[in-house]
Amino acid sequence: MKPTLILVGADKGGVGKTTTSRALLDYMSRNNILARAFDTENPRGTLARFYPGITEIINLEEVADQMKVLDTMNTAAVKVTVVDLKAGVMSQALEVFENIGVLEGARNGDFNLSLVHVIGPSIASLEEMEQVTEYTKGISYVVARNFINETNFFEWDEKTFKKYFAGLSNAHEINIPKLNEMAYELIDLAGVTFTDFIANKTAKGRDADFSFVLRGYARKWIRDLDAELEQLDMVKSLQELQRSPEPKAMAEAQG
Amino acid sequence: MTGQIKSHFYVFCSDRARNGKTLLARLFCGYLPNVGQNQFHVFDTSSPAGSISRYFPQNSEIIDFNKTSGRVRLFDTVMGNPERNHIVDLQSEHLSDFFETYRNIEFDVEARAQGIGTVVYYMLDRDDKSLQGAHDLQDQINFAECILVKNDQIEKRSSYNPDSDLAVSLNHLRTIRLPVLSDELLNILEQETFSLFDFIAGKEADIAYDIKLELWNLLDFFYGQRSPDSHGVTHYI
Repeated sequence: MKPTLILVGADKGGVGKTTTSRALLDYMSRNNILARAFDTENPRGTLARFYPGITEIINLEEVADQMKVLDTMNTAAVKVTVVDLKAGVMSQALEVFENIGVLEGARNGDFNLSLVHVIGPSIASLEEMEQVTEYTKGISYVVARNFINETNFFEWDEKTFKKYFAGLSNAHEINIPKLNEMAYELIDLAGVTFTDFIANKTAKGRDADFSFVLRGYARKWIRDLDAELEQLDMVKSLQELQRSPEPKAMAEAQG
Repeated sequence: MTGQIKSHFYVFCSDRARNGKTLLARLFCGYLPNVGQNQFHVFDTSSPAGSISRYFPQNSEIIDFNKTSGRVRLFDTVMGNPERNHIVDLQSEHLSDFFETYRNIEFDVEARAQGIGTVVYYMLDRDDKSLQGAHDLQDQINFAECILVKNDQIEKRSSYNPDSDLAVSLNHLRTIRLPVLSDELLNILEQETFSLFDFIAGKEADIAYDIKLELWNLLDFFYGQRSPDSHGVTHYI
């Protein structure tokens, strides 16, 4: 089974990269697909707060940390690696990966590589799509339009977006649906995964007292999100890595 | 999945305002103490002024259903107190948001699991649009009992065809009637100091005899329509 590397990024800040990484890891956890994650928001690590057991905080500018991610893909027991790229480093990371042959390796089929590019409804986000096209040839490129906290953004101009999107030959588009603001904030504050929040559990697995209504909103959001993710070839290929449900072993493996 | 029903969540709603919805909810709540149900809780969605809450200040709260905090307050309160009955007097402007939230959070499934039954009283208005509202409502509720209410005052001026496919599609629902009331009786019912419980207990002396008689006839007719629903439960109306 070939390893899979999923890069989640955007050069623009505040568009929901970490939320998208969390959503992907949540999807994999619910579908019994083991994954490990790297959080490049050094030294704080937002993703690591939600997935402490499987996330390592790294500095992608350090060669040793690049090796941690790339040189272990074939040998790691967990075949799916998610890298949450902090704001502003996506283009830089892609350039490094191109220079050291990572993108070439993916194009040659040595491993599966997907770039999930999270964009907000701004021209800056749309221009980023043009800028990364030179790197995305021959790899899976997913444009994730993030509506989850859309209150921060002005309305999408569909016509402008389609114009930019049409220039990308190999891009797949998904929408991260909107989640009720209060539910989003409470999940964030509690530092729990979406699944734990819905199950009314704390990060330590104890019974919690989260709002029934907000859990309901999160459950609906997860269902809508799953429908979006399952359109992607990247996600379909992950199904091959699905383990038979062994909750205890799964929990142990996920730390 | 379903256990014994311990309490009910009663929703009084319509697609239109000013067709007797709050009066119906009032008659309902006013009757509860007479059958020993003193612990009921009413949500008044007429924010900020309030409407039905003026009549039951001890048992009610005003909810702003436009806000997430109001929705959380309403549904979380119901789920957190499965031993008591809850009543919602739903403003028509919140009808679609209410049932969208209700469906999205899978309220009736979770409520059923907690032993809470849901009963929706839908006040029919005078036209096909209102019939369509009742029809659409049934797609939103799985385990809830939907009861149609025809206000005779509105029915007199109705424009829908009772033999239309739409009207016939609602024939399977239990239907109750709210009879036409005199202006004098409506004026008395409007008074915040008027208590149905006191009236039934014989404590409302300052009412003309013919109005008393009309009110007794109304209560007799209204509560006399009780019959078991599809789950075999007989509700208060």
